[in-house]
This record gives sequence, C-alpha cells and structure tokens, in this order.
Amino acid sequence: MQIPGIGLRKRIFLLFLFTFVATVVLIGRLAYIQLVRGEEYRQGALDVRVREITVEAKRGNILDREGRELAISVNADSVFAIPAQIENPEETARIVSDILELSYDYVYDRITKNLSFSWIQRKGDQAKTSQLREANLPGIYFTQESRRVYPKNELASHVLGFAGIDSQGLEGIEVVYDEQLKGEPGRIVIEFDAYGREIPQALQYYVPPTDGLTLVLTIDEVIQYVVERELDRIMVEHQAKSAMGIVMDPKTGEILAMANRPAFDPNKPLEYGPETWRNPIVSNSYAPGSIFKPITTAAAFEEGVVNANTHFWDPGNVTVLGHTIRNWNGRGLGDTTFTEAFQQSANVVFVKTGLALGIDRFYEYLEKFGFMEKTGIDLPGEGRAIYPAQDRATDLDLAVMSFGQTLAVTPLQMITAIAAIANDGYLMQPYIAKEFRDADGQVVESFEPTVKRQVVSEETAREVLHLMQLTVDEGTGARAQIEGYNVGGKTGTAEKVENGRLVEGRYMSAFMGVVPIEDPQLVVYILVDEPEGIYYGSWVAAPAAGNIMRDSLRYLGIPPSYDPNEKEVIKDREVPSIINLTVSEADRVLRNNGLRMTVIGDGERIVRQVPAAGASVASYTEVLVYTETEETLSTDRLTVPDLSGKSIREVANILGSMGLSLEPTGSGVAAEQEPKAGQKISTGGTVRVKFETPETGR
Amino acid sequence: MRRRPEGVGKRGQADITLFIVTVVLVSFGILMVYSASSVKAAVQMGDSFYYLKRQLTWAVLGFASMLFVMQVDYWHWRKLAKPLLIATMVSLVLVLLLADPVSGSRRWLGVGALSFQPSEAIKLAMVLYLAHYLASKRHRIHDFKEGMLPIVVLLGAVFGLIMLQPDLGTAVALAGTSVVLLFVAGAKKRHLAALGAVGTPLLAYLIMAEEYRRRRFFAFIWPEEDPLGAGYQIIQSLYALGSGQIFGLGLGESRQKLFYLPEQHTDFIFAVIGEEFGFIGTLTVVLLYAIFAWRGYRIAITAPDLYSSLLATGVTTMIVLQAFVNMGVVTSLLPITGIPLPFISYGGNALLFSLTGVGILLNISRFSTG
Repeated sequence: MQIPGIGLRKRIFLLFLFTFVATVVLIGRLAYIQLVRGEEYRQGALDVRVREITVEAKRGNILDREGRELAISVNADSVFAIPAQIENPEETARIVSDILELSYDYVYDRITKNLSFSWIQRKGDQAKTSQLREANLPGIYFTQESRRVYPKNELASHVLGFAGIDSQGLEGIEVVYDEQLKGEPGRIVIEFDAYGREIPQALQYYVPPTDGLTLVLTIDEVIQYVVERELDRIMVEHQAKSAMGIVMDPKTGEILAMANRPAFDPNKPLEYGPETWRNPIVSNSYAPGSIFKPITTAAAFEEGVVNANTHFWDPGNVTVLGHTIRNWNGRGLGDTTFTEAFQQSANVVFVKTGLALGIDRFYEYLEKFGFMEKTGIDLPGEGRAIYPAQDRATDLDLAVMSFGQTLAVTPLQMITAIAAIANDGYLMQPYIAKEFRDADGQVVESFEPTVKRQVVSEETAREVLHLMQLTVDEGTGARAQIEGYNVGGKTGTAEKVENGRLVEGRYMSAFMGVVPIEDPQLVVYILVDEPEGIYYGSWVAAPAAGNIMRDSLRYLGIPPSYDPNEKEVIKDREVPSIINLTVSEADRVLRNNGLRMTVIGDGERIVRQVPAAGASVASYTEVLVYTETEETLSTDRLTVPDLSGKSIREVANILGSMGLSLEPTGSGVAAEQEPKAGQKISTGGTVRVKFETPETGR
Repeated sequence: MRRRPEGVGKRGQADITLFIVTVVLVSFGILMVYSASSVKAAVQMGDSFYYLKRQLTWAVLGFASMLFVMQVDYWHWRKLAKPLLIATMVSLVLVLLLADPVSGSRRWLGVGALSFQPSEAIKLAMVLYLAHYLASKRHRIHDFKEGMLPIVVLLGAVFGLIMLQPDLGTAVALAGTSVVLLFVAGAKKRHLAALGAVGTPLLAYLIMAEEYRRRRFFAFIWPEEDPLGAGYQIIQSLYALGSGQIFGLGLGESRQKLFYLPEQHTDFIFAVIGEEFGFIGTLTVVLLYAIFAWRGYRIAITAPDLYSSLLATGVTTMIVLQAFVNMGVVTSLLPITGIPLPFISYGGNALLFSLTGVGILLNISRFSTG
C-alpha cells in the first residue's frame, strides 16, 4: 500500500493555502473594480454606447408691433440614415435619390458611411419626404425640424438678419435674441450596440423640445414698407450707391422702421454675401454734415451763448487758424439773425457759435447727446463715433465740427440725439424688441422705454424744434412739407470722408424730420450715399422723408396740426423760366412766384435751372440755379438711367427729379431712349424717349 | 481490470459538496452562455439558441460521463493512462495535419456539434499519466536522469504540439498543472528551479515572438495605450464589471455583451456575470471555485494512496488554476492568455473533460480515509 506521506499532505495543503490567497486577492480586485470604480466604468461604458439625436425646437416667430409676421418657422422633414441598419445600400440609394432628387453617389456615400448616424437631407420638401416615408426603407429615418421663412422677403432684412440651417441666429435680431428664439432642443437618447444597431428595450427616451418664444418688435410693418418704398425710389431716381432710412418714436426710443438699400432676401442670404448683411445704420459712422447743426444749436442755447435773435455778420466765409471756411454755396447772408442762419444752414454763423461755446462745453454736449457711447440698441455690430480727442482738438476742429464735419457718427446715434430734442430734451435708449410671448400668446418679458438722461431743458428743445419747423416752412427743408401738419427738419449735405480725408465730389445727402412739431410723434432720418447728379439733401432726401412722414401720420391716425383751409396752403406753383437772367433778376422772379433759389457756381448769368421751366412744385421749393462757369459745366454730369418699360409718367418723374428734361415721342411704355442708359449727360440736359404700345398676345 | 489496491477500503459516499458545487457552476454556466451569446447567435447564426443548444448537449454528455466515471474505481485508470496519452498525442498531431485553419488556429477534429478538441483531452490525459508515472517512480523522483528527465521531455513534446496550433492558454495551463504535480510528488526544489529557469525565458520568448501576444501583454500593463486594439478587450471587460456595481443589471441585461465585449460567451463570460449580477454574482462565483478547491484538495489529502492523491491533486489543480487565471485576466490582474472559465464558458470538449475529471475526483472521494 502506498499511504500518502506527511510531506505530500503538507504540500497539497500548501496548494489550498495558495488558492485561498488567490481568492482573497481576486475578491479584493473585484470589489475595487465593481464597487470603488464601478460608477466611473459604468459612465465610460455609457459614453461609448449611448448616442443622442437632437430634436430641434421650433424657432419662435418674429412679429411686428401689430402682430404681423416678419419671420416664421414652418415644419420641414429631415431625412437621416443609420447606416448599420441599411439592408441593401444600392437599392436604398437608388430609391432615396430618385424621390429626393439627389445624386445616387451622394446618397450611397451617406448611407454607407461608417457612422452611427448620417444626415441625408436637412429640411427638405415635405411632399417628397412623405413619399419616401411610404417606401418604408429600413435604416432610413425622418425627424421633423423647422425651417425659417421670411414671408416679406427683403422687408426689414437688416433688422431681422437671418437664421442658419440649424436654426441658429446668424445676423440681426435673430442673433441678438437667439437664446430666447431658439428654445430648448429636445433629444432622443438611443443606446446602440457596437455595430450601431439600436438595442431593443434598451435605454431609449424622448425629451420633447421646448419651442422658442415669439418676439414682437417695435417695428411697424406699414411704416417699414413706406420707408423701403421711398428708398427704392431714391435708388432709381438718384442712382445712389446706397440709402438708409430710420423712423423712431422720440417719446420711447422705439424704432418703428429701419431699412437699407441695397437689401437682401433673408430667405437666401448666401446669394448676397456678408457685405450686404451689414447694417450701416448701426455699424458705420458718417460725417453728419448740417444734420448736426441742431445739436450745436441746442448746446449753445442751453449754455446761453446765443439765442434765436442774436445778430451775426456773415460775409460768406470765416478764417480760423489760417484756414478759410466757406458757406456751402460760397455766398454770405450779410447781417443776419441766428434763426435765418439756421434756416439757410449758414456754416459761418455755426463756426462762430461753436467757437463761442468752446471746446470743453462742445465735448460736454457730445457726451450728453450720446455720441461718446454706443446707443445700446439690441442689434449686433454697433459702431462708435469718431472725433478728435478732446485734449488734442484745435479751434479749427471745433469750428468744423460745429457744422457736422470732421466728426463721424452712426446714423442711429444721430437720430437718437435729434429724438432727444424732439422729446423735451430727454435722451432715450433706442430699441427694437418690444416683448416676448410664449406659445399661448402670453407676454413673458416686456421691454420698457429707458430714459438715459436729460440733455437740455424743455425750453431749449422747444426753441430748436421751432427753428427746425421754420427750416421746413420756408428754408432748405421745404420739400418735406406735409399739408395739414407742422413739420420740423434739417437738411444735410456732407462731403464724404474716406480714410480720414475728404473725398471731393462725393456726397452724403440727408434729411432729418420731426413731426408734428407741437407734439412730436415721429423722427425720420433719410441718408443717401453718393447720389448721382444733384446731391443736395433738400433735393434728394427731403421729399422722401416728407412722403414717409405723411403716409405714416395718416396710417397712425395722428390728427392734423391745422385745418389746411385755414392756414396758408402750400400751393403747387409752376416754375418760371429764368435762363439767361442774372442771379439777382432770377431771385426776384422766383420770390414773386413763391419759390426759393439756390445758386451754384459764381458766375452772373444763369445757364441752367432745375426743375425745368413749367414743372409743378410746392411753395418755397428751391430751384437750383446754375451760373455759367466751366466748373459747373464740366463736373455736373449724370448717368442716364435705364427707362425701358416705364410709363411716360414714371419717366417724367425720374428725369424731373434728376434735373433732366424729357422729350417724349409716341405713347405707351418707353422703348428707346437717347442718350442710352449708362451714358453721361449734363444737368438740365434733355433725354429723348420713344414710347410704344406694348404688343398684346392675340 | 486492475485489482483493488491493498488496504483500500470499501466504496463509501461521494463528496456531496463537490458534486453540488459542480452542478451549480455548470447550470449557472448554461444560463450565462445563453444570456451572453443569444444576441450574437441571432446575428451571426440566425438562431439565438445556437450556442445554448450546443452547450446543453455537451453538458448532458458531460454529466453522463461524470456519473459513469464516478462508478469506475480510480485504479482502473492506471492501466489506461499510457494508451490514452499516446492516443491523445496522436490526435494532436492529426489535428495539425488534417484540420482546416480556423481563425489562425488549428484545434478541432471532426465536424459539427460533435467535433473533438485534442488540446482539451490532453489536459486530462496528462494528469492521468503523470499521477500514474509519479506514483510508480516515487523512489526515483529525486534522480534527475531516471525521474525528472523523461517527464521534462514528455512535457516539452506535448507543450510543443499545443504551441504549434498555437494555443498558449492550454499550453500554460498544462505546464502549470504538471509543475504543480511534480512539486506535490516531492521533486527536488533544485530541479523545479532549473525547470523554471528554462521555462520562464521560453515563455517570454513565445510571448515576444508573436505580435498579437506581445500586444496583449503590453496592453495588460498599459491598456490605455491601445484602447482600440489589444487594450480594447481589457477596457470593455472593466466597463462590464464596473457597470454591474453591487447588484448588477439583472439577468440578460448586459449591454457590453452586445459586441463591445469580445469573447463574451467564452473567455470573457465572467465579465458578463459581473455586469448582470454585480459584485454579489462575481463574489459567489469566486467562492464556489474556492469551495471546489477546498473539497478537491481535501479529497487529495484524504485519498487512500499516493496515486489517487496525485490524481485528485492534478484534476483539482487543472480546474482551479484555469478558473483563477481566467478571472485574473478578466479583472486585468493577468495578461490575456486565452484560457476559458471551467464549467461556465462555452466550450463542449472543455466541459466534457472537466466533468469527467470531476467524476474521477468523486470516485476517489468514495475511498476517503478522512
């Protein structure tokens, strides 16, 4: 018998001990992995397996102040593939590409990608996607998203901006209030196996999205439309490079309309490009020119430096630090009052006023009127004003700034400052967003008017407004008159400044209007960049501002200031011929006809006049009178617009506002013209247009 | 048939604890094979019961074999030890010559559900033969030339045949079990040390010579270095264990088995257990193997003679060694070797021969002197 020895038993027992140790080590290790680091590993595993598919929230609508839709979201189906679930890639790609009208190769590539999730088409046509839905292809899925639609196309495009394919705000108000508009995206959480297939009965839940809030703007669609209509007209009639228009409620700072030309269609922004998306009203600064004079006036009145009746001697020019500054037409008013100088926009008087005010007080008012800060409007990319540093500013700087050159301000800053004068001296913060509403139409957030500060006293503001009214009643702003309403205004014609230098021969024409003057409801600012031909603000911008104010007042139902039958009515007057008269003779003839005169050139005899003799215009309208100098003959050259397809009436309006005469033949719509579109012609020249009756289909 | 050895008493009661532990592990294994493999089987074989059916078939065969072998008194194996070893070695050669390459390895003879895996048989055959040899040569065990050398040559030959497949896991398990048997039989420490001095560099060479083994080895040390390659298996295994935390996700709820975890129903089934039954589950399994070791070595200690003692030690070691190495790999305590978890992992031949080994153990326990 072979009884196992004691040594053998010891050694076997040793094996058991060894196993015991291994057991303890293993249990310790398991406890560490599963208990101590369990959560960490569990999370790591989840990160690998779980995928989230985002469900877009419906972007909130944007409405005008009356609830009219400016931007809406419409449902759109998006199609995606889970490539692991595609059974027959060739067949699937063929069907999908046929129905969605996409290329086969593109679809095949998308559905065979080594991804768990792959978009095929975002926000496509719903008719086609529902057709595809019926094909019931494995691995092809649909998710409802929403697509941004701007039903009014170009209207208010610079205010609205636009949203991108993922419904994210990219420009304009869409980007400023993106957070509120976009809502809270929902998500589908799906757990996938290592091959990208859904795990049945696995972690899978749906968090519904919260739709974005509805944004109500201060913009009024009707007023916005009127402004854009006028800008369009300016672009055609004056062949301008660009044009801007703003309408503000001076009592609240609400922006009622804001538009630029050229504009873009936010439904297809990529067809225009980033330069067009920019909103120069908010972002760019321009020399305001004479539009700035009410600011200088308000400061000087408030400080008691001058008053409306202060007498000045205006010889037509003034010398400051060795530089001679001239009035815009080079002519002096002689012995004059501040009131008349304001109406006639005499630079010399403003230079003297500014110098009397002094650099420190002038800058104090620059700051008070808000030119040293951003307005704080809720639009992106707001720019700042540019002006010489106060400690380095010279009297020459001051003199030139007094009539709105040397400094550059944004159009928004300018209208905000003038609105303060129209609001008894209180500077308001301009704003565009009025309120947010939830899905039930309940207001969840509302923006109230913000008073920034009182800049000047109510008396000073009233006095300046009065001067502005005189300017329209019988000064340079006559073309902005509206029957039945007292209108205040100021024209501006500024030489353009580029790279810090005046650019000769290129102008910004502007008009700032306030209405009705006894209780201002609207401030309107029109700026035209590089109009062709006659570039005076009184000529280019004032009529458009007048039309905007007239239409807006009627639309808003603001009662007239007076009964047109009781006050001296602005009558239509026929422009007499003054060709070949001397300047003084012409002045007399025009005054007798209730018209005003602006002389261009320094000759004695008049060679051309605009409007041409026989035109019908409002009282106090300026007639531009050209004296015979080489300069005027050679520099004032216009580009002839394309008139084809336009009626005789339209052609007459266009040519008349450019200071050109029409020689029509035939009837119907314009078919041929001489000179041709694009050719140059002198101011006052004649365009021969042949009209034909368009052929109608038999 | 061999006579009953002198002094060996009448057959008594078999070790009921060992029997129950084995039945519990195998039953639990069948459940886990189904849980771990059903999705994979459905995807790859079109039948979610594919692996379950096969495992069940082999379990039935295995239990039948165990119950039969329980009745075969252990001393009868001494006469069969040498023929069985030779037959198995021949089949090892055959598998190299005949079988088709399956995923780079050649392991199977025959086709379909009843294929035969010689590398599983050789583990049991080697234990049977070594116990017989060491019991016969117990007086010459200290003699290097007469006692050790033939064993070393035999071991080297079998090791080489298995490595030609190549199947490092089986080779290591076999070598480990053999060395343990030599130690228990009383081999000189000097001889064992010499064997270790030759074996360790050889093992190192085998690991370093083969690209995938080298990567697995280094991935074990720094799994984060290669998270998508060799380290991937280890990280996914830890993710599975960790996801289970204390109580697990519940039977069938493993997520990692959905193709994140490789070899989910074979070498890494312990990770699925950990994910579905948590620390409670893994602790229970570890303790079951510990109880198995305790009962197995107790049978070896109380065995009626040297041969049965060595035989019981060999069978117990073979199963316990594989179990702990497998669990060590899954918990990233050891580098990946490719050793399945005995009784639980999917694998018909392994189950059949493990249960046959348990049958032998149970028979020996019937002659316990303790």
